Amino acid sequence: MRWLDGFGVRVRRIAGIAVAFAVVVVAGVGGWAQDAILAFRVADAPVTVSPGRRAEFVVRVENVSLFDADDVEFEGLRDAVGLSVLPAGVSLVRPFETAAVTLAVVAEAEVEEGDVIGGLDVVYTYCIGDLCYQIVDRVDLPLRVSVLPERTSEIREPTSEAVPAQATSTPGARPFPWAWGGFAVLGGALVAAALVSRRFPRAAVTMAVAVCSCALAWGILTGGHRQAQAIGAVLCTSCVGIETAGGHEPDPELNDRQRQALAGLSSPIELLVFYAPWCHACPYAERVADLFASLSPWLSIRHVNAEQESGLAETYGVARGGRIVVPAVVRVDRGDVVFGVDRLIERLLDLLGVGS
Amino acid sequence: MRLGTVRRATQGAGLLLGLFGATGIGMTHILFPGLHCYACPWAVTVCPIGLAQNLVAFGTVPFFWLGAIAAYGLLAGRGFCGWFCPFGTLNDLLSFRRVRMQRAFSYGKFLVLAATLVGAWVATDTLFCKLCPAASLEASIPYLFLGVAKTNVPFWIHMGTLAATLVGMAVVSRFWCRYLCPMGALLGFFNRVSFLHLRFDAATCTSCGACDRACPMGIQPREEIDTHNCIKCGACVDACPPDALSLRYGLRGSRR
Repeated sequence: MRWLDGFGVRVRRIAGIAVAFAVVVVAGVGGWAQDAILAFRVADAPVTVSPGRRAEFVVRVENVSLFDADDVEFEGLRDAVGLSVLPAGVSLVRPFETAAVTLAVVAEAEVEEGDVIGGLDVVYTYCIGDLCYQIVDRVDLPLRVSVLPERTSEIREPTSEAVPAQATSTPGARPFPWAWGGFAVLGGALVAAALVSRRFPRAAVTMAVAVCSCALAWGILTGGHRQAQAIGAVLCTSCVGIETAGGHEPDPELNDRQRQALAGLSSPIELLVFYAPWCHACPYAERVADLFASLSPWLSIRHVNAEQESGLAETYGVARGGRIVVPAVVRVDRGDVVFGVDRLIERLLDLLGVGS
Repeated sequence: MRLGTVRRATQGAGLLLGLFGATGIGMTHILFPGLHCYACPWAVTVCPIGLAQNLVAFGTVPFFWLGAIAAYGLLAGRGFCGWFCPFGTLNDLLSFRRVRMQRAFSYGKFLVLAATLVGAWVATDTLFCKLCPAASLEASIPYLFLGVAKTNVPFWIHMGTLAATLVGMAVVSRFWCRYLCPMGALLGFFNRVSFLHLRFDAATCTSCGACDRACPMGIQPREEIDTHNCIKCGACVDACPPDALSLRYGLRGSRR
């Protein structure tokens, strides 16, 4: 055991370096470690509301990651006495797109005037391949309570609409068509540099430095560092095969209310269940679909291998740009899709139009 | 001070960076300059090989990845294997038998790298991660104790690859770094252009062969300085009686 020889020295050295390192990390982390998946911006902050009234405001939800964020729900307001926010949300924010959600804040009649920072609770589902995460986040919401002459305070239900990606959003997932060409040029230059490095060391180093800076600049401009952050931000236990996602669900069961709802169907509906051989959660989704079909004569179910029938998968938005998102259940006549297995039974009932 | 002592310190720093996520800080836009699983519960950075597989699987052009790898390659090349990488440190600690390098097998790491990327493209999945012994050590085992991992087939596959690699390391020093590590292959491309480099002064060399015996990679440092098999650990520099070998930082070819 030769390595034990210098053990005492090693430990002392680690302590010194640990302190230096901690300083660097803590100093550098502030500006970098944020907005891993969804970035929220409150338009026209602070939101002004009069006691006893309601005010609407818009939250822009930008997806800065590689994957879809599903079922983004603003659930309520905390840390603001006498104020509440009505629940609202948006069902899907695609990668590098921005959605605008209109929310309404309601003030009680006796609420005190003044400024307060409330915490808006957000819950959304984030899926990488077949593994889905429910992410709970919190948005700071600057609020101002004052008895100003109200503009229009028309009461209307919270709505949400998807707006197309803005020019400012990161185009990382949509590379230019010639991006692979640029990549090949840079990679080729690096290989060339490695090959000539024995005879022309200086030239090779210069080439490598140039390629390195070009690639880094290009990568950062197209949002590569954000993609890396998004991929690394998830402790992907299924990526290393530790956890088989979705493999442990019990057999699906419907309660009486759900069975009655399903029996209420009165017209034929065709469902497509997209699966892939590598998807761990798919068998559960298929079992649920089969159970539904066994309970209602109006339902017809077809299981579709999304890899083999990629054209069909593209048509229904189950596959995009070579990326397959399964499990997915498609209602053929409307083209509506339900992804994932989280609360699948309820969401399928909603898809069939018989949900509660 | 001996290089070996300094190296233990930098290896400790590498291990510390690898476990820094225990503080709750995540800086996963930074690539780890070594093979360190980003599924490790305490990882603070992202594994370059895991990231590359994800990017390949999703069809993204990995400019940022290429630039970061090139930057690390320029900074120290495979010096990261010898001085920083936690899995390399494990290899180091198990270096009991410094046997000669089998040159033909040393290209195995390039095969592993190519197979990793092609496999990610074909299967749109991180196949290498499911076999990676670093993931076994840094993710499977911690997650077993955290109650997340189940002792299922993938877990036992991980344990199998880890056991095989550990046995390999004990029998052949730096077995994983020599023959199989895809990260070593990546950094190996830059070994000749990196600023960290070894210098050999033929005039003072007495051809005693002390460096050959000391080299954990089993190469002959006099002949093979800065090839893709050299991890620039400085074992040969420490071992050389007449100080014919030295480790330097800066543009190579420059005097001093």
